[in-house]
Amino acid sequence: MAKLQKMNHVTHLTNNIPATVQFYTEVLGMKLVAAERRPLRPGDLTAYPDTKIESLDESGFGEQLTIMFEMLDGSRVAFVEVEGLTSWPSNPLPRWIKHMAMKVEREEDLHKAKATLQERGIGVIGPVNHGLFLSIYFFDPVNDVRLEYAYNVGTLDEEDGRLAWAALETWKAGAVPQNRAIY
Amino acid sequence: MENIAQQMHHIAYVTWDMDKTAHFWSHIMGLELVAHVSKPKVPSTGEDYPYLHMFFKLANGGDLAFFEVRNVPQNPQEVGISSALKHVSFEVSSEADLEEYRRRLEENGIAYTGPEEDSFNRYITFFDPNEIKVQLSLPLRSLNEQDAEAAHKLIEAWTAQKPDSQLPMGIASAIV
Repeated sequence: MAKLQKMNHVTHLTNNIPATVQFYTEVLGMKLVAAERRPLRPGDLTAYPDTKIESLDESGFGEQLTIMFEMLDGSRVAFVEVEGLTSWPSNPLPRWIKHMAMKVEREEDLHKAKATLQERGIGVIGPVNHGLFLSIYFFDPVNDVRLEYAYNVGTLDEEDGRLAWAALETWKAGAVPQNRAIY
Repeated sequence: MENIAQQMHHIAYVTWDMDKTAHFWSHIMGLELVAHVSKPKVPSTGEDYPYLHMFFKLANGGDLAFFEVRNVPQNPQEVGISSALKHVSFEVSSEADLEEYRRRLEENGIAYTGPEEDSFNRYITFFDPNEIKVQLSLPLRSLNEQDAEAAHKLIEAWTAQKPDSQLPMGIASAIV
């Protein structure tokens, strides 16, 4: 059966490409691996306004530049800047919800990253012990993207999956489910 | 700093309907629900938001994760060009797998566009039950040094033509 292998990329918006490049390459040490400049195409602008997919009007906007930074497995964090698009609505939800965690190989990576970020004046939360993994949290200060580095200290088994389905039923009934001891 | 990001560990989005989300990602898209974390308060900030956090596993061990959170505004849908540009892409390993996913979407009445191609991937696009724009991508080729060199040149040219372009700055000064 077909499987989704991994994240290929995630694309965020930016209005400051040079500072984005500086943060991801100089601070986080990721490689700038590719960029693509071209006009917007209808496929770029499919949206979902009324339960059907339709393409937004691209008039009034110029070209786009997408830049991509790579994790060690080849997956990419991408940013797109569009001529004529300088601002957009900010996320109305609590800022911790939407985020991306990147896996690190050693626990000490968390501490090194925290020190490096703090030297640059970037606030860091953690390491937080989630039982299954340890995390530090921070923001990409240019684009307000919440990022996390995570180091695995435990492994999941089938019981975790069974409990997760059970937790869904508890949650639907209006209660806050219990967690497994590992958390 | 040296790059310590091995791979995506998880990417987390919000949902207003975990039941529908679990059905879609687990039963239709084939990602196994592997774990949950549920808390009455947010551990990192202490805020009073009871939440259920669910993890759906990709083949490489990374997870697509969702939070359903009580006490947050319901479904503040973002519309317009900014919402259309943001997306996440997951990778399939063959044309046959891409076909299989197209079939699964069709069988479940889920609209998609594509396949279309950019310089790197052949992909289809659809929206999950949370209106997250999702692509399933089959890589057409791997990236090389020429791509990286070209990227630096494109960025220089792009930046030079932006009259109010900010030159690279001390990151600390970029924090608002």
